[in-house]
Amino acid sequence: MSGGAVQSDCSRAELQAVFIARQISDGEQVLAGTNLEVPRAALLLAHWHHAPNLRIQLGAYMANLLDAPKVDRFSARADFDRQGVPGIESYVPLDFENLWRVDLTFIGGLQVDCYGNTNMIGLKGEKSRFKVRGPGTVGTATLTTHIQKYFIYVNEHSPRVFVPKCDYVSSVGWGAGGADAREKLGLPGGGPALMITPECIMDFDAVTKHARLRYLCPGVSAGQVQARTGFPLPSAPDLCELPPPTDDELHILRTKVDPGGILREHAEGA
Amino acid sequence: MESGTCALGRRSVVRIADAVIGEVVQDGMTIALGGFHTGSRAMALVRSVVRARRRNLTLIGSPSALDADLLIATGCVSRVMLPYVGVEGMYATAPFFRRAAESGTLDVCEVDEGIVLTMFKAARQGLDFLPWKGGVGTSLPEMNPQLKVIEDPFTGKPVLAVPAVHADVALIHAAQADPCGNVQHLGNAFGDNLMASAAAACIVQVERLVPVAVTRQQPDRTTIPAHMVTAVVPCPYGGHPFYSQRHYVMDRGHVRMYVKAAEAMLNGGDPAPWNSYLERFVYGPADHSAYLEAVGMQNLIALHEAPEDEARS
Repeated sequence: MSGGAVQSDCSRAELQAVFIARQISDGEQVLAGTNLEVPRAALLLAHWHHAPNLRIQLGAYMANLLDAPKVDRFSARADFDRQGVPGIESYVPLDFENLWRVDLTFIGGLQVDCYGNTNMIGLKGEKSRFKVRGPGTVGTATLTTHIQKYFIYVNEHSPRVFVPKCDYVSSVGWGAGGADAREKLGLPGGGPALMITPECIMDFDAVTKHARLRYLCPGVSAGQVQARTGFPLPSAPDLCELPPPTDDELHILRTKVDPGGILREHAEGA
Repeated sequence: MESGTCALGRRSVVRIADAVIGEVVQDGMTIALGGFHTGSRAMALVRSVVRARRRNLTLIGSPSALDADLLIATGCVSRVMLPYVGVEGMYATAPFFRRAAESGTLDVCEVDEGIVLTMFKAARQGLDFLPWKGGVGTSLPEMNPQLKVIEDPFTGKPVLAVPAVHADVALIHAAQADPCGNVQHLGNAFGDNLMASAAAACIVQVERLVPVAVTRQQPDRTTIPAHMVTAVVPCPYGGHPFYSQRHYVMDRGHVRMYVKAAEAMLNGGDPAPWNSYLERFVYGPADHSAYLEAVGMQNLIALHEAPEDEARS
C-alpha cells in the first residue's frame, strides 16, 4: 500500500470499506452478497487498488470487473447480462459444489451471538414458531459450512441483534466456543473471522473463539459498544480505532468505486 | 396413414398453458419451481396453476420469488420446501409467505438451498438419501424432521441424511425450445436441469419456439434435453414481472404494485387493491396474450431499457 495516511473526514462506511478491502488479497475468490454497499465497495476497492486478479462471484455469475467503467451495485440477478456488460466470464452452476474454492463471503443475521452463530430464519414467538419470519437460510447454511472464511456484516448494532442466544441458528460460527468447535462438527470451512457493525469490528479470541472488540469506529467508545451488545464483550489487547485510508485508497474509493458518495450518506448502505 | 409409406413423424410437445397445466398439475402434487431468485420464474405457468385452483400443493426449489407467494396467496399451497421466498434486492420476505409462516397456516419445511439441491440430486441418482454437511450444527434438523443427523462412518462426525424428493412436475422458464422439447436457456440454466431430471413431468415456458434445425446448429446450448420435457409452452414475456436473461429486466413497478396491494390487505385490512390485482392480472385475462395486454405495451418495452437506470429506483 502506497501513499501516506490522511487525516480525513471519512465516514464510518468509508473506513469500513477500506478496512475490508485490506483483508482481500489478489487472486482470491470472493462471493459477493447482494445489497451490501460496504462489502461491495470494499471488493471493488481491493480489485482496483491491489487485486486485479480477484475472482468476483456475483450470485450465479463469475466476473472480473477490472475494466468496468463503473459498477453500480451487486446482485444475484444478472439483468445486465442481457446487454453483454463486460465483466461476466462464466456461469456458476447452481449445484452448491466447489464451495471450498471460495475464499471469502459476507453474511448477515437477524441475531448474532458471542461465538458468531447467526440467525436468518426468524424470531421465535411465545407460543409459535415465528413472531417474525426472516428471509430463511437461503444458501448460507451450506456456504458457511464450506467457504474458507466469512465476515458477519450487520447494519445495526443493538442488543436486539447481538444476543446471548439466537432463537434459531442458520449458520454455525464457533458453536459453543473453542478453536476446535467446527472441527468437532466436521465443518471444513474456516468459519467467521470478523463481525462488522456500524459501531465497531469484532474478531474472535484464538482459544475461546469468544467475540472481542478489535476496532472502534471514530467517536465510539468501548463502553458505548458494550451497552449496545447483549453479551459481555471483552476488548482485544490491541484494540484501536479503525485506521484511516491512504491517499491512493481514498482516491480510488471516491472517484471510481463510489463517486456518488453513497458511503458518505449512509453508514449502512443502500 | 397410407399403407406402404413410411410417414413417421416426431411428436410435438407444444401446448397451451391452461390446457397442459389443467391436465398435468393435480391437487396434492409436489411442484418444483425453476429459476433463481428473480430470474427465470415460470410466471405464465404459475398463473395457470392459480386459475386451475389447485390445492394442497407442495412447492420445492431454489430461492424463489413472487411465483411461490402468488400460489400461497391464492390458497394453492399447503407446504413449502423453499430456502427463500422474497424479491431479492427489493423485499426480503414475500408478503403472503411471511404472513402464512408467522400465522402457522403454512407448513414451512426449513431447508437450505444446498439441501434442496441435494434432495434433487438423490432423486436423480436413484438414491433414497444423500449425505450433506450444510446444516450440521444449525437449527434445520430440529425444525425439519425430514433431515436426520447421522454419523459419518469414516470420520464418526455428524452429517445430514437428506432424503430424495421426486417432484411430480417441474415448472421451468427458458429462452427457446424446439417442438420436440429440446430446451435452450441462452444464459445461466441455474438448477433447472437438476430439477427437471428429478421430476416426473417437466413443463417449460419459452420466449420463443424455434425449429429443430436451430437446436441442431448448436446442440451444446441444449440445457434440458427433449426426453426430460413433457410440454413446451410458447410464452413471450412469460417470466414477467421477473427478468429473463438476454430478454428483459425485472418490472420493478409491477412488483411494487403487487406488494403494496398485498400489504394493504394483510396490514391495512383493505382487500380491494389485492382483489383488483388478481382480477386484472391473474383471473381476468383469458390467456397469456390477454395478460400482456393488461400489463401494457409501454411497460413491456420499458423493460428493454438500460438496467442501470432503474437500479436505484
